[in-house]
Amino acid sequence: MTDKPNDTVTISRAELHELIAGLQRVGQRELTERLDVATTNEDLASVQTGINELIDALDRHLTEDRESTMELALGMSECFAVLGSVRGGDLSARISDETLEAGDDLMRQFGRTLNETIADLETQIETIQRQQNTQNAMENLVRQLQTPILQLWDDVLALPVIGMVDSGRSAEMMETLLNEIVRHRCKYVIIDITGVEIVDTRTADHFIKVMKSAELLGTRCVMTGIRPAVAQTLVELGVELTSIRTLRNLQEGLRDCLRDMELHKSNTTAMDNR
Amino acid sequence: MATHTLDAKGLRCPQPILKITAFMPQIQGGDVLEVQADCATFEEDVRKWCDRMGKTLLAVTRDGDSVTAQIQF
Repeated sequence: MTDKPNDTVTISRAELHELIAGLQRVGQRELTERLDVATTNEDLASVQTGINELIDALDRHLTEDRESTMELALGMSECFAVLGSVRGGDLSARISDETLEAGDDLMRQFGRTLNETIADLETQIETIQRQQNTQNAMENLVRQLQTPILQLWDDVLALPVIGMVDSGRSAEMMETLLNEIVRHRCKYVIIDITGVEIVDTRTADHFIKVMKSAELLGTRCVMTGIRPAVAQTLVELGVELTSIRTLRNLQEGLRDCLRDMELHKSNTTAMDNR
Repeated sequence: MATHTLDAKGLRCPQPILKITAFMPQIQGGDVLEVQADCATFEEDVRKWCDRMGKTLLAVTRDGDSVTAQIQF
């Protein structure tokens, strides 16, 4: 390439092809090769150097872009993995420090937000679980208080019933009472319904079932405290209570049990003396 | 345990990794993902990805420019 008086430069066809080939490689993102600047032609050397600098800059930018995109891909992969763990119930999963300290601002921000969201979710679930535990404990307490079993005497248990008796409570009463009968090995049970103001056929049926079940365990059952209004309702409803022993109040119930206990004891002694 | 295949040929790095990332939600633990790519740094990238994600790179095989990576999830 040589300066001419009309300010043009001349290069050989081979030199021109070399420049074109170099630019084509750039177009194809083949940035590993550089043009060989070994000419004495200053103008050509200047163009070759310019193209090499362009390739360097492009290579640098592409490398930075590639690293940045790779970092984004790694971060996003981690986000998917963490979200998958959370979805599977593992709330301890978090975006790693490596990602949180990565160069990509968007990824850092997203990772932090995701971690904070999971931490919030974890706290909320813990709070709900605590509330659920408290509620369960309260329900247990209420159930226990609804079915208090009192040991009135040796071998005598009393179940004072207050309020409405539905199927759920009846099942609870039956289970608790039967367990206590077995635990105390008692022979007498008094079910006192002084605190029951309304008895329908279903409630009466529940009581009968509880008493029959207790009797199957070898206990003698007595029902006490039937209010006049309740007695009237039961008669009107035609509820059959003849199969169970009923007495006026708890005191009479206990007296009846003690009497039966004495009778049983004297019969046993008499039999032993024969 | 299923085997999934992903064709990432013709994509420039790290586009194949982005493609794996986008495919991740469809893969269950224990599944194998077989990825085919032909960009120059795919093997390096996929190794880096497996390291970071704690996945097992079962094998990397080459056939000309084409690279196949088998990843166990």
